[in-house]
Amino acid sequence: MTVGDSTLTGAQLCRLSLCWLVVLVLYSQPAWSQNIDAVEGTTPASSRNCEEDANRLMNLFDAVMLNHIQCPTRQQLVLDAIAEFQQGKPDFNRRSSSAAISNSPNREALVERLCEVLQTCDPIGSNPSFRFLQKLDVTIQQTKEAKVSEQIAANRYVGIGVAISKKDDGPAIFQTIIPGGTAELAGLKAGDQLLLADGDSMLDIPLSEVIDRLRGPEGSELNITVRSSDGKEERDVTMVRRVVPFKTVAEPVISESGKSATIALDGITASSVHELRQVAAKLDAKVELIAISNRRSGATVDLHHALLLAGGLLGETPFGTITKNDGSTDQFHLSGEPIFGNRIVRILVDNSSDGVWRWIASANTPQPNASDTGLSNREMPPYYYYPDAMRVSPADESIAYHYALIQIPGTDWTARIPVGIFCDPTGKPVAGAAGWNSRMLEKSMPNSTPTVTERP
Amino acid sequence: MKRDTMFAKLALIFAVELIVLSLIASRHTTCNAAPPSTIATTTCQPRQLVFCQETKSIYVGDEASGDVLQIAPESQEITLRKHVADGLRDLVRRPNHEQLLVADNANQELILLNAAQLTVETRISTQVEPQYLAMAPHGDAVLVTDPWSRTAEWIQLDDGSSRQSQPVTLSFEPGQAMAIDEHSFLVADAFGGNLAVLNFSDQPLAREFQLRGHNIGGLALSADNTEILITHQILNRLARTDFDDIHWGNLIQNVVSKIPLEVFKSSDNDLNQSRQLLYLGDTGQGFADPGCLIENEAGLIVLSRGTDLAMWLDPQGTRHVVSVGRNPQGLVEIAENRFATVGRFSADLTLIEVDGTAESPSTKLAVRKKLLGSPSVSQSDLGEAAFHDGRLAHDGWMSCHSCHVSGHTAGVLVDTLGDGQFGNPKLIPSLFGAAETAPFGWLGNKKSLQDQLRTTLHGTMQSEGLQRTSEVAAMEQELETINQLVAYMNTLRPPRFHGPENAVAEKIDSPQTSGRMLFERFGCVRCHQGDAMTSESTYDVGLVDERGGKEFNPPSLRGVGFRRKLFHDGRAAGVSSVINDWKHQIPAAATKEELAILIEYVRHL
Repeated sequence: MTVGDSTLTGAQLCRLSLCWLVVLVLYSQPAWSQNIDAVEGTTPASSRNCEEDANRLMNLFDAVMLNHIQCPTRQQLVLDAIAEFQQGKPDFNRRSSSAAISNSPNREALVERLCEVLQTCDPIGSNPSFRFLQKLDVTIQQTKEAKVSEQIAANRYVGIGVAISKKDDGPAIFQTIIPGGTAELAGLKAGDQLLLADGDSMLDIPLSEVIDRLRGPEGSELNITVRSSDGKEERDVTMVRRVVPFKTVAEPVISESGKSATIALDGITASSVHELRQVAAKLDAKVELIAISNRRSGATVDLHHALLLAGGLLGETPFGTITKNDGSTDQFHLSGEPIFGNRIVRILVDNSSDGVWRWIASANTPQPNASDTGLSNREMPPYYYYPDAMRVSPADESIAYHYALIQIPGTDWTARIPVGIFCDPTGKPVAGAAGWNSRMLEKSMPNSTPTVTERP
Repeated sequence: MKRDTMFAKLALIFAVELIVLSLIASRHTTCNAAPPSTIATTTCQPRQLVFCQETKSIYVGDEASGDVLQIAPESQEITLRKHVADGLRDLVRRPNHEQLLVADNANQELILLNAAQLTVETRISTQVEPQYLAMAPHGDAVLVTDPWSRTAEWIQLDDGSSRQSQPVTLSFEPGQAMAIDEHSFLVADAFGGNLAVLNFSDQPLAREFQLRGHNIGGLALSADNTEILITHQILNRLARTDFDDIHWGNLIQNVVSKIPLEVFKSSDNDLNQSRQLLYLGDTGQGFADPGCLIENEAGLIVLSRGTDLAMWLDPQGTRHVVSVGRNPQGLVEIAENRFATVGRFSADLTLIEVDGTAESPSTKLAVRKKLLGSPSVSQSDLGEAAFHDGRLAHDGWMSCHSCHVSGHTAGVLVDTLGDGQFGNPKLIPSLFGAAETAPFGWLGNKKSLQDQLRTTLHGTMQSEGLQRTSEVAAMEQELETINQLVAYMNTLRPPRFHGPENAVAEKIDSPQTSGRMLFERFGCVRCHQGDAMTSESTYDVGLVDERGGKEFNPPSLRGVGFRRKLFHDGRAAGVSSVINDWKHQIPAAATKEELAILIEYVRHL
């Protein structure tokens, strides 16, 4: 069974305020790590022109080199790519390949080398996953999916508001009807089967094509034919694709004493400040302390939205920095009206909190302990508070990275690349969540790695 | 076919008759229809509104004609109309005296009127050019504010022979004001977010405060008299003028700040720490340019000058919104839960009735509108109306006036694409005299004002009606609106300089002559040329923005003395700071005296 979404991928759904249960049902394979590199009906390698694929890869490598916080050399990337493509093949020798790559005089020569190797492999698909890039924490997404991610980051996702699944030879089934979406307004139910879209059969086409057919620009019309889950009824439904509103801030949980409120975010989006303001407006005057957490770690957060949220939580204050790969530093000073006024705000982090959330937490100025606010420890949520527990120590291997989505020229790929190190207001790196860490990069490098000076 | 033609003719005749009838009807509702004793006029721009308990009448000040209109609340009929002042700027009620007080900016005087007859009883000369009035609670004194001289003048109204007057100079341009007790007034910035409490019990005493925000539109006491309520806007310089940030209210917020009265007792207190914010805007309905407001035991009513709405917040916090006249000005309570406001650009009076009580779930607002005259249809007046129209922006979050308050500047930074990219917010420029300073924009890349305005509407305000259609009619409408805005901007001139002089200005014989010589000798004319005192190119003057930008088109120096902040990021606090602190293109050999002369010259441009 292939699992997906008519308009949202699993990873995108992760960023929405759907419960984890729904996400787990739909999200068997995160888009960032999907292996969809083989394309049906592939052309035999020998007759295929591999230059295009090689150039696409080189453009990707250029973007990585230009932006990655610990950018490897181009030769290193080409070598790792070739090693991956040639893995298991008896005639591959890493040492000789490395030497050949180091001796390549220019970019064109490297493209040629790649081309030679690619001729022996399957074509590169539209949504590839390369292990050697995963070591660098670089992942690739189709640009059209990245556009959807952008819509979600802005909380202005356009669609009919459904999530679907599909067996290879069966109809697509509506798994989730998102509240407030046009599908719900049109009366679609979870379990309904999709038969036709704008008159065309949806039965014998892959899920990705079904998704493409259901998506469309805001205001456009979609006519579908659905069959009820019990198979007894078929009907035609006309819908207009609209912005599907998602609630990304949970209702506050008020402590027994009524003095503290715990609020969970389901990601950081353009609407976070707006939604938090609405929550704040309903809080009782008795609430003195706000403990706020982010339940959606791992999603790529638009830095701009993170800064707006940080300004809303912390007010006018010097903020952290981002160190970039050229050694320069972007300095930030927050601006914005404190959403919770004079209440104490505690930003909660735990082991799964992502880098940007830890970055915001690291600027949460020292404030009175729970006991100072008259709250008992029992009333405090079981989280850590930055900076007490989350500083990077020499033994730490993880650092919080700032990721950017970068469109790769000449491809339909958007790469998610770590482009900076989040540092707290004192300039110290912020600890990242467990996972990829900077030392892995060093470990992955063989002795024969071409040097920077040899970079074409 | 013949039958169709006949119907067409009949329809045409009927249409012509309708037009004639409506013209007759409109004549009866224009200001021309006023009683013979009044001065006839064709247009009406009501801006001031008063309700007088003693006469049970509503009074409206018409800035277009200088007339004061007396109106019966029930019928909304004009019962009396008189020309009072050539430069009518404000109108207030004098409690306990059955009198009205008018500010006449043209003759620099206050006019006391008999409220019943609208006859002039006394004329009082003022030291300042009166723009705004605030009456003391018992009507024995009035505070007059004049933004451009940055002066507030307290004037005793009793005993003409020994009348006292006390002017106070402020660090900001004072606008509207309100009495907070017998001897104290709260004065609000006419453009930015400054506030001052002026006390006249003994020697005049001024305490100044800075509110985070700008474009203060209304001041009121809370229902329990313990808080000051202030409507204003807040711009976030971290936010961008893109669709998402405007849509979600990240860029600009329209709010009521509720600040305990106690806080105003010491200037050491931080208003921003003590205030509680009530957000008026929401997605879909931004509520641009919040204006007058009244809070009573039954709730809060507040106007949006940009989206022409009145919002009633009942004690449960439920919001009820109703449409009122265009750019509503003034708000008075004429009976229990009955309010009135006037539409400045629709020339009408709107009565708002809160139907139902806080306990009633069927609470709703009922309105009755009545024309007071004909709205002006001149190109520049239509442009002024468009300038204040929040519906030109996405979801009505802001109007042009929101940032360029009254054509000047809110004095805050905003991150637009005017300099080519986001991430480097720039100071909002004043528009006084700006129409003659082509090319436009920080990079000087907009050759015409039309181009600049199109960019502002589409890019900065995310105007939808104008942006998302390719229909010819819509494009023509856009062009018309832009041309109207241009016509209005052509009327925006720097005010006459009459600010407080300093010792240097008095000492030098001819600051204009000697200052001009220094201006030329120091090479200021290289960038600030001609009458507009600007030039077409961009220059690197050693100032770098957050994105590394360092070449900017020089702003005009006309009216520069009225700008409190200067340079692209507002880092210089006025002309003196530009020259003394930042040594902006000043030769090292320049003497202190020369700099003082230069400052005076530039301040008076």
